[in-house]
Amino acid sequence: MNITTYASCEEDIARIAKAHGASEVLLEPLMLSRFGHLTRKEVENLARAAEAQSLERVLVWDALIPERNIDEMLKEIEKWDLSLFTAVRIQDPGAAQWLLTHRSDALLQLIVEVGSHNLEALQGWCECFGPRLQRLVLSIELPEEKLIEYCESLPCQVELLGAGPILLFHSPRALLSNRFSPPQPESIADNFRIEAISSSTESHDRLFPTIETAHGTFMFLDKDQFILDKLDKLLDAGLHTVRIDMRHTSTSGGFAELIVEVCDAMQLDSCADVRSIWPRVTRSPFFKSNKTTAQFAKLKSRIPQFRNENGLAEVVAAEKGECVVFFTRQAFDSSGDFLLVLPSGEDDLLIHGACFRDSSGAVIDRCEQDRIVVTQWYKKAALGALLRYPS
Amino acid sequence: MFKPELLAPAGCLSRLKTACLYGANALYLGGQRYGLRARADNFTEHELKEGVRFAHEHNVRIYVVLNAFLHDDDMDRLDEFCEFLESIGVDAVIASDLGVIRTIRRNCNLEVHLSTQASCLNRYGAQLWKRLGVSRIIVGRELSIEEAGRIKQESGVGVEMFLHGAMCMSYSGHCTISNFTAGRDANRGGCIQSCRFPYKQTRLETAGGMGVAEDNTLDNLGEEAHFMSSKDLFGSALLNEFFRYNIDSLKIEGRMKSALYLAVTCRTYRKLIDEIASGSLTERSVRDADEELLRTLNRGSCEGSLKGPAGRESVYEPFVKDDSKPDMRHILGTVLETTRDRILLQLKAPLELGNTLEFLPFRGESISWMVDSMRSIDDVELQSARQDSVISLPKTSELVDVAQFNVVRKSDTTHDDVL
Repeated sequence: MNITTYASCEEDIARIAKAHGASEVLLEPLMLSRFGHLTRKEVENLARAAEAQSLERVLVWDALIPERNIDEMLKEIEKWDLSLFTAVRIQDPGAAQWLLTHRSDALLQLIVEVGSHNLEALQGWCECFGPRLQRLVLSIELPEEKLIEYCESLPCQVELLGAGPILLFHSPRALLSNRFSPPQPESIADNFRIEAISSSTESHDRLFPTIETAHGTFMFLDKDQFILDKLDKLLDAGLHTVRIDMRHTSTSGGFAELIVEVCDAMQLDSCADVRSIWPRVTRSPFFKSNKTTAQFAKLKSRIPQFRNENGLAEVVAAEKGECVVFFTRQAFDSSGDFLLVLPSGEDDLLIHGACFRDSSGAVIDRCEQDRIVVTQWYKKAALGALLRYPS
Repeated sequence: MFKPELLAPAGCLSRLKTACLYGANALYLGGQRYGLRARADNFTEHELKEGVRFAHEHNVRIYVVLNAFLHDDDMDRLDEFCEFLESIGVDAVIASDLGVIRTIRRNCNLEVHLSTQASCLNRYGAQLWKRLGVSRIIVGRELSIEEAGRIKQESGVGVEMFLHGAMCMSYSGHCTISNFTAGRDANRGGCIQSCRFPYKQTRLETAGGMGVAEDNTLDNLGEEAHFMSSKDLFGSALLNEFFRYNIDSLKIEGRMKSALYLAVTCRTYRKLIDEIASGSLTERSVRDADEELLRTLNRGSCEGSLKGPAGRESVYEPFVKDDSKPDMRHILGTVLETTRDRILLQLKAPLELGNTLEFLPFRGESISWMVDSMRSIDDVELQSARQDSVISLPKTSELVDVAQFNVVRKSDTTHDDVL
């Protein structure tokens, strides 16, 4: 197993070099990375230090890039000596396209944690970037079964967050400085950061870490993703890299303070030990299964299934004891039997011997489309019920 | 002269007809699967056929949304659905996921528009998506009109922008609060709108960290505020800029909104766009239009990022009174049928003799009329009528131009359950 993690100082590099399985460092520069605060010089020095320790070096360029920022950002990236890095990690397809067409020396690690939750999309990215694509960083919303399939099928390396914060929300707007009123960042080159805790009664008063940088506002879940003790099948399937993100556990400015202990515990294969070392409450909400669409069926009426070629008219008013008013969806002959599907879609009422009248009260043999027709009162008829052929 | 397309939402077949008749050039709508509005009525295949037929008869284009972030199991029969959409003459599909786009392109020749869900934010992104088969990009709502124009010019791909309606506060597709806190996938149609909740907050002083408090039992979280709820987008004052930068399509948000919202937004923007194109726009039309359109917005209004990055003024605080907002007008009903001497109206609100109604014709000035007579469907004279009934009004000389599917509003109500 290859482990990748973030580094922010030379002490981190030294720790990562000592950690079992750690083979790569993620370096976040200020302007290019969503959460970065390192200068170009600092990143380059860390890359050299990592190279000296035989670690792979990844330049993290994971900011989303509105058109207004792209020229400034490209001017910055053009200054970088990309040969110091084994790959560049991007999220914005525009950054990927630019690297593909302007820098032949950079391998790409594409973050597809948002969307691309199907094999067809993932294969599409592989084809799109060809051999320049070193790795796909997959979403933790995918369940283990799918991750195994993708690890086995994809022609590039696959990475997954093994432990770390779960990002819930990313807005380009300055939502914390709006609230707390310090000066807002004027440029993406500003080293700017506000941190806060946000809590809503609708979310059961959970405490969501929230930060603002020059790239916008981010909110995280109050619990960390943690699957370091569940990786066996994925590793067997070919999972290439596991990311351990401890940026939020820093006590002295380093991003990898606990990396040696965590990696050592993983080597010992002691699930309880790994989890007990982790400094925050953990969970893995979608690892076993993702049922986030399971409730949708309950939100919807079943009536749409009857809105087909047999659906004739919809109840637009029901006058108790007197009449039912329909608006026709298509023309139909008024003789014969009909069914009335109730608004829930769950029950049919047999309409036999109905007398159809037009809006002037005249009895009609044929109902035309987009017209009002009126019948005698039927007890269960309610607004939204649908008259249909009984086929 | 260049004239952008006016693109409106259609949540169901009746609202499709409303939008067509009130002046939209194109409509976007969803089928029973693959879209982002799980609770919306949406269209069955039969209704899609009927909707396309009706729209095309009125020279209106139909775009079908397939813009959920689909998982493998969700893609079941997507290929057949694409073939079906092509067979009934749908004009384009809107997708955000590369897997969906590849499936579409493999199974039909439908034009593909890239959903704003994909957050295409710059010209290089547009070039990439164009290479992947996209002919139009609905750019992220984080962009200005000028930036969208530059993307169009430098990528050669068509560009669509949101003009009016509710907005996500996050980059579209980059919010998973519902997924992780409520078990409902926001990017597959289950958004619980957590951004609209009030949040208590406290600032941490540990600069350089990731917003994690050392003490997880914070009890000093301050007052509640809606820090992540966006005001609604209101782009009418910038219509000239959309023309100037050749933005191909201007989109009204709101597949879940009412017939009144659709009627007002479509007819008002139709008039403004036509007047700009013909050079006949006056200050008075702009003023009148703004008053009308502001009535359709529930969460205040702002220009979002259309001129530059959205600032503090774009955050909505529900309890802050906005004196500039005109009184809301509430839907009363829809004209279902007209005869030589009668207008048959389905009521969505109660009505009494003496109330004043406002009929909204498809074009031209609205018609105010005080109810001095009404009858039941069975021709019984009424003093009042309840919500969800059908009544008959006399077709007086003032109402002679009232037509089927005209929307009617009450001009003297004050309750808040609107639109």
